[in-house]
Amino acid sequence: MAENEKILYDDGTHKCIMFSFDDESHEDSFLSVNQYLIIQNGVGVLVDPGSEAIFDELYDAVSAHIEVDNIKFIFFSHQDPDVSGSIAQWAVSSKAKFIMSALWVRFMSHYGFMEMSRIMNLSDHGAKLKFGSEYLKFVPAHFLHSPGNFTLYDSKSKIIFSGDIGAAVVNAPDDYKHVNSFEEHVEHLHGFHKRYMGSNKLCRAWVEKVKELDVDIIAPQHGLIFEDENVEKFLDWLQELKCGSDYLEELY
Amino acid sequence: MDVLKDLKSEAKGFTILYVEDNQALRQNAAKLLQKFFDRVDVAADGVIALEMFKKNLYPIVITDIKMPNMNGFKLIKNIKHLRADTKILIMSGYDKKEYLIEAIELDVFRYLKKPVNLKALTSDLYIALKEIKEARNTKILYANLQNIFNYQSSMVMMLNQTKPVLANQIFLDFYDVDSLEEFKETYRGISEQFMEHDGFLYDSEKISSIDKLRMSEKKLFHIKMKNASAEIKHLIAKYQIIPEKSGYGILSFDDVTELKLLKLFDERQTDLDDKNQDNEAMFKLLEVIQRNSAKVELHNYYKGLSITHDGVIVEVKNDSIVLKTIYMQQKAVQYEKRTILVSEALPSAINCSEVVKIGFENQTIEVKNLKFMNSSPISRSTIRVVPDEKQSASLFLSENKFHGDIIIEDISLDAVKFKLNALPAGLQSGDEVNLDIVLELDKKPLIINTEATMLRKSESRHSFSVVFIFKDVKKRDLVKYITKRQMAIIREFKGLQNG
Repeated sequence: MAENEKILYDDGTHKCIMFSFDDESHEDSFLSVNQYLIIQNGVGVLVDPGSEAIFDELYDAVSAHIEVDNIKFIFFSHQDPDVSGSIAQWAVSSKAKFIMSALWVRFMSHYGFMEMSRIMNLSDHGAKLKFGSEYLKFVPAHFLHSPGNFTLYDSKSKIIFSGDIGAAVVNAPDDYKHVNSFEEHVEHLHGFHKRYMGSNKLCRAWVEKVKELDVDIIAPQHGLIFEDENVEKFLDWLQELKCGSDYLEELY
Repeated sequence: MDVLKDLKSEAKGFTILYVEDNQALRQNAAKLLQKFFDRVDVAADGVIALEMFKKNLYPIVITDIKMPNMNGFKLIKNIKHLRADTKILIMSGYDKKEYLIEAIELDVFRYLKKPVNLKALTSDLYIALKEIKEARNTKILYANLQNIFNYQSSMVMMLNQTKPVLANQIFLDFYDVDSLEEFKETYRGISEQFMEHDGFLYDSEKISSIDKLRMSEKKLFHIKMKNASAEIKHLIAKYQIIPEKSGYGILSFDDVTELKLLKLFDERQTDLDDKNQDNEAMFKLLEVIQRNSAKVELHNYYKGLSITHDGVIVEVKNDSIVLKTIYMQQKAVQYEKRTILVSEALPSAINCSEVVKIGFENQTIEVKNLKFMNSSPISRSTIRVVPDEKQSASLFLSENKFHGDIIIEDISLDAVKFKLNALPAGLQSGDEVNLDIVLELDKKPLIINTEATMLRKSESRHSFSVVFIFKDVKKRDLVKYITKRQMAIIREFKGLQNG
């Protein structure tokens, strides 16, 4: 298996792959970035493919698993450049439709993207894409941190691709980026979440939704993935986290 | 309407009897009536009048009521016995209720109170004459209808020379009009309604259809006409002379649309008709969209860049529509005239190839030349861009280099479109060629050398556009080129919005 990637789930017809391509210019800041690919019966969904700088590498890595023409959807959890900066490149080189919050559609021209007819925009409550009895669910995660923000739950692999939720500023290993000890990992989570996430109320709303789902893995867009008991530990932690507007007095 | 002039033409050939005991009035009125009627007879009382009527059986009589010897009502009673359809106008200084009731009972055409208003009199005479003529024509028509096959369900029209004078209800229903007058006002003539179709009768420069019909009595002609609902109908027309009335004839139309023969006569024209019918349906649909204030999507391409926003239809005209949209889309329409409309209410996208007007002051655009599209270019999954001027291209057809001018119209990851000033001899769809394309990426030449297959060509006035599908290109640099070029075009377009 190639470096920079890890198969998170594979049952022969359904597969989830985690890629870790960093924008070299950010290497010093350990902002380790993750991209994900879901393959269901030969059809691909790419999750948060990242910035323009990593496009070539990710394109090649993705191509090793699936013909790019078979990627039907590319999902952006939110509008940040390290999430959706490569939208123009993917638009040129794939035939995929792009899924994102309706809030960010008109901003995509700043990334050189104008193919509005290829966008499936998500209204605030999200949406569900079905494949057989299984589904992909776009779970709202607004203001965590972006005002129009979604996480993606894959019912087959039981992975929730959580965007910036659960992101950690950490010097991560290339091969298997997972949390060993949640208690030790918390210090890498805290600073980022305290400043970037909207408020405790918003965190609770998302946790409540996620707890309704059967989740095995939380896969954030930065840092390490949460598995097994760490899933619940993280959700419990996030549920109680004071952040964003809870610290209003510190901000003004 | 010029009543006096119309009356003069209508009264031609008619004789009128005017009965009045007041000599001065009689003379004045006779003078006036002589201006219109061929002959005006006058009588001073009812007895004289009745004698004159017995000899002449006037179609129209004007009479006073209070007269010596025999009063007006008695005279009218006698006249109606002799000729029931004579139109009688009463002119009297009295308008007592009993008089009016009696006039109604005697089926008097008009009751005019003295002093009589000239305008009212001439207008009433005009209407009376019209009714007389129509009644006569109807009589003639129905007397002759028996000779017409299937006349009860055919459209029938009586002509005097080439002028329509009467039409049956089926004809009026076909055009959804109440009268022949209304038909003439709305549609002008009948032969103008005959539509072009191979093997059919329609007006040509050489001869009008009506003349042709009149010259070929009892011959059957195929006719194509649109009814009031704009449905195209196939009819068999026949002209028949009315023997007892010179210059008159009956034109009949038998509807055979159900036989579906139009295509057998002229397939091309029938296809065209179908398209036009689609066009009419399209405008009706656009009206529905407008009435519901439903959104439509507008799409334009600026140098390959897709510019799309919502709009609403504010007006549906005869052959154009007015839409309200945002400034950015207006600018896109201004630079790339062709606009595509998309709506869930439409069966396919509509291509609008002409811009009538862009109203920057009220955020509107007016577009025309609307056509349903077979394929929807807005669902394109490949991005094409127009390269900048730093480009060159060579084309090889089995080792032979094409020596004409080549301009790259657009390029995508899969294909390129060349504009050629001439077409290389023998170049056909499916042919394999070699392409050498040089573009500039990050101030360095980007060389694309590949085999390609010709997909299609199209011809315009002085050039040919040819699309080639790449066999194998190194995608990486081309992706970079296209995305960079796209970004540059976005900037260029945004710049245009300030200018």
